[in-house]
Amino acid sequence: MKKYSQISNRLVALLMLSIFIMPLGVSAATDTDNTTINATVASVITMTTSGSVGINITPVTGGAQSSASDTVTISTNNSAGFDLTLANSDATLTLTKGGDTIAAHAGTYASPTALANNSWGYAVGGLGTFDASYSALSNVTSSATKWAGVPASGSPQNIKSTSSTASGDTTTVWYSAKADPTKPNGSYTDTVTYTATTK
Amino acid sequence: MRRGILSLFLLSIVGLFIVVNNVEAQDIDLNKESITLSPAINKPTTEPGAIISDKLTILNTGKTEYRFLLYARPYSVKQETYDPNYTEVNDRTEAYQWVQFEKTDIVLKAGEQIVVPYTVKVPSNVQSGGHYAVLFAETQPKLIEGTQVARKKRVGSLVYLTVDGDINKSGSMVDWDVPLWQTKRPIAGQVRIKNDGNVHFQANSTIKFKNIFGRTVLTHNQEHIILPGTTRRISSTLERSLPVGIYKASGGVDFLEKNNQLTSKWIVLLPIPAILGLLGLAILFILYKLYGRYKKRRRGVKITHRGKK
Repeated sequence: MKKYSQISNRLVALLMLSIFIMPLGVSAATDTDNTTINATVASVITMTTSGSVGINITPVTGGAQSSASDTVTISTNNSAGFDLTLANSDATLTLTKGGDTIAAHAGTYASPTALANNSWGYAVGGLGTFDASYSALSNVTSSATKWAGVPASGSPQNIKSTSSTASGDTTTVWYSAKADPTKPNGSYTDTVTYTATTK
Repeated sequence: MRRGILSLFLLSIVGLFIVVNNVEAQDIDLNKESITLSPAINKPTTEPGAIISDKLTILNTGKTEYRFLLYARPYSVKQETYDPNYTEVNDRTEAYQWVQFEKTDIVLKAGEQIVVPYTVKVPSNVQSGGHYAVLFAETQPKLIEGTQVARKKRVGSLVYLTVDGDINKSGSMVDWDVPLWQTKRPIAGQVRIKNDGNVHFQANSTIKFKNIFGRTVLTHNQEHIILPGTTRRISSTLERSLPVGIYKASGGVDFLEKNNQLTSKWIVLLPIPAILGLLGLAILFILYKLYGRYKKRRRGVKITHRGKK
C-alpha cells in the first residue's frame, strides 16, 4: 500500500512538473520573434596618391633628363569598375616659372616618343602603348623611354578603365622633364588633375 | 668575449637598419593623400519643378590634411567604350547647373569626414527622361618648393536623374562577340547594348567562362547603366593567367525586364609564340620522317647492292 502511494505521489509530482513546463514552453514560443537585418552598403570611390612629384635637373648642353613617379590608387565597390583620366588643370600646358617655361612634349598617349629637349611629359608604364620598363631617371643625356604631353583640361586622357570592383588598384604615372642650360634656373611647376569616376 | 662584442655590434647595425627603414616608411605614409566620396552613383527620380535634397559624404582617408572643392559638371560619354566626358553641355547634361551645395570650399583633417547637403532644383519646363551630371570633390595641391608636377585629385559622384513625364524605355542587344581565336591573355568577350529610349536603364550581365571539361573558371557579374541614344560595349575578361587551350563563354544579360541569353561560344587561346612552337615541332617531325625514309632507302640500296654481288 505504501508502495502504491509512493508511485502515485511521484506521478502527481511529474504531472505538476509537466504542467509547469508546458506553459513555459508556450510562453517561450510566443516570445520568439524574427528580426530581419538590413544592411545598406553605400557606393564609394577612393583615390589615394603618394607625396609630391619633384623632378630635379642639372642641365647640360644637349639636355639632361630626370623623372619621378606618382602612384595613383583607386578603390571602388562598383561592379562595373572605374575610369581614371589625366589632364592638365588648365589650358596652359607648360611647366612655368614666372615668364620662363618648359614646353609640353609633342608625343601623345597613342603615339609616345622620346622626350625632346626643353620639354616635359608623362608616361603610364605598361598601359596604352607605353612599355612597362620605366624607372627613375636622374640627369641622363640619352634615354630610350617614350613620353606624351599632358593634354589640356578640356580633353582628358583616359589612362585606365576597369570592368569590376577595385580594391587598391594602382597605376604608376611617371613624369619627366629634359632641360639644357638655356633654361634659367629655378622652380618650374604645373598642375595636373587625376579624375576617377565609376562606370 | 670577442664573439659577444661582435654579435652585439652586428645586432646594433641590424637594429639601426630596421629603425631607418621604418622612419622612411612612415615618411612615405605621412605624405599619402586620400579622398573618399560616397555615394559614387545616385539615381534619383523626380518631377519637373521639384527640388531634390541629398547629401555627399567625403572622408579624408589619408595621412595629411587637405583643402577640397565641391562642384558639379556635365556628364556624358564618348564612343561605345563609354569614355567619360565632363565638358559637353547638351539638353541631357545641363543638370549640373541645377545643383547647389551648402558648402563648396572645405578643409578636412586626416581621418575626418564631412557630410555636405546639396539640392537639385529641377526647372518646370525641362524635358522628361534622363538628365546627367557629375558631382566632384577635388583636392587642392599644396605649394612645395622645387621643380614639380602638382596634382589635383578629384573623385566624382555620377547623378542619373529621371524626370517623370513622357518616359520611353527602349533598348536592344546589338551583338555578343567572342573571337574564336585569341592570341593573348586575358581572353575576352563583349556584348553591345543599345538604348533607343529617352532614359537610362540598367543592364545586369553574367558571363561565364568554362574550360574544355565544362568546369567554370570565372563567372563575371556586372551592372552597367546604358545612357539614352548610346550603344555600350560591355567587355568581360578572364584576367587569370590561363594555360593555352580551349574555352567556352556563355551567359545572359537582363535589362528592361527581358532576359537575353548569350549563346555558348568557343575560344581557342593560342598565343603567337605557342603557334610558332607548334610549327617548329611540326617541321621537326616532318624532317624526322623524311630522314627516316631517306635512311630506309639507303638501307634498301645497300641490300640490293649486296644481293647483286
